[in-house]
Amino acid sequence: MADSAVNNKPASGERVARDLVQLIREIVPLLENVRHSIEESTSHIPKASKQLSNVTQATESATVEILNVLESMTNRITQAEEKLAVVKRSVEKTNNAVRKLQAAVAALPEAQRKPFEEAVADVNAQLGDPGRDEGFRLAEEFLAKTKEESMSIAISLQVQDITSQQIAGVAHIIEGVREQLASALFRFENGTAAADIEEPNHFKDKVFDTNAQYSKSPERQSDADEIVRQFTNGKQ
Amino acid sequence: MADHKFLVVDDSLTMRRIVVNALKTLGYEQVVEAQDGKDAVAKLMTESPTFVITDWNMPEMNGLDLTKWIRANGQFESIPILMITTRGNKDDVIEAMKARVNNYIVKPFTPQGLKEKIDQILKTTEAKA
Repeated sequence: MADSAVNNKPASGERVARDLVQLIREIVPLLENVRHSIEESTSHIPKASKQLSNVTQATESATVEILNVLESMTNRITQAEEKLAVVKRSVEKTNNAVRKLQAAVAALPEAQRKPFEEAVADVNAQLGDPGRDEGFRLAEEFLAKTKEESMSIAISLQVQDITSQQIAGVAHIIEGVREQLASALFRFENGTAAADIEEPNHFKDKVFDTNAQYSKSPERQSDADEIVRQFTNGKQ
Repeated sequence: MADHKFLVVDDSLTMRRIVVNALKTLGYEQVVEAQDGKDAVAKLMTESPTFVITDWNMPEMNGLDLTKWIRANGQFESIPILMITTRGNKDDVIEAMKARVNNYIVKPFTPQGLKEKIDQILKTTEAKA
């Protein structure tokens, strides 16, 4: 029994060695696959980063174009409001003049007043027309509402700044992964790939808040207001 | 109202445009812009603004450092500063208040919120003057 065990030792050792060699034979192509995958992933990351940068630039350009249109709209609305105010003042002045004229006509002797009576009745009908004042009111309301809504659109475009910070945050994470992969690749290739590690970082100059969020919930502002109150002893 | 000259500091062109538009809607026509803290320091020297609205996260010099620079500079130390930023954590607000910003808005802001903060700041600072 003991002899048999001793005799089995070299045979077992040889088998282990054979298994090890076999394992290494199988691992080498696997490692080669891993190296190839890392190399490929690493080479794709700058492209992904560049695409994110393009997205940020494109949305910023589009946002600025929208803001230009909104500004132009707002300016036209302001001009229309000013013109409307001029027309209203002019109508009011005309009304006052007509009222003075009516008083003057009313003061005339009846015989002289007669030819003016029809005209005076027409003017009275015009002065008392509720549709005209309602028209002014509706026009003012329409212009003010349109101005307010164009401002709301402009305010909502803050989302561009906030999402660009979120994208920069993602790009920063991707860049970190790329650096780690490049470093792994560098070790795989015995340091020969050192020159390939440097890639342009399209978000290098972007400073961002990783927690930036587009939320209209008042909670964050309320919390900030509470702290401001504590610092200013309620003076603000 | 018309006497105030605002300096709007933000590295985002979009945000600068939105803040400037909002200020103009509120009746503040005199507005100059800077794209970061360093640019803002230059504009403080040349444009003599009376009110600063600044972002926090910016390259070159951020809004917090700009605030500290302003408060440490006798010529400008009393200029009101309103910070408008995405940073809404309590610690951030505390840090900004310690640096002596006058008030703090978490993005996205509303025109009404902006008006309230400007009015509050002007009321306090003008009462002190």
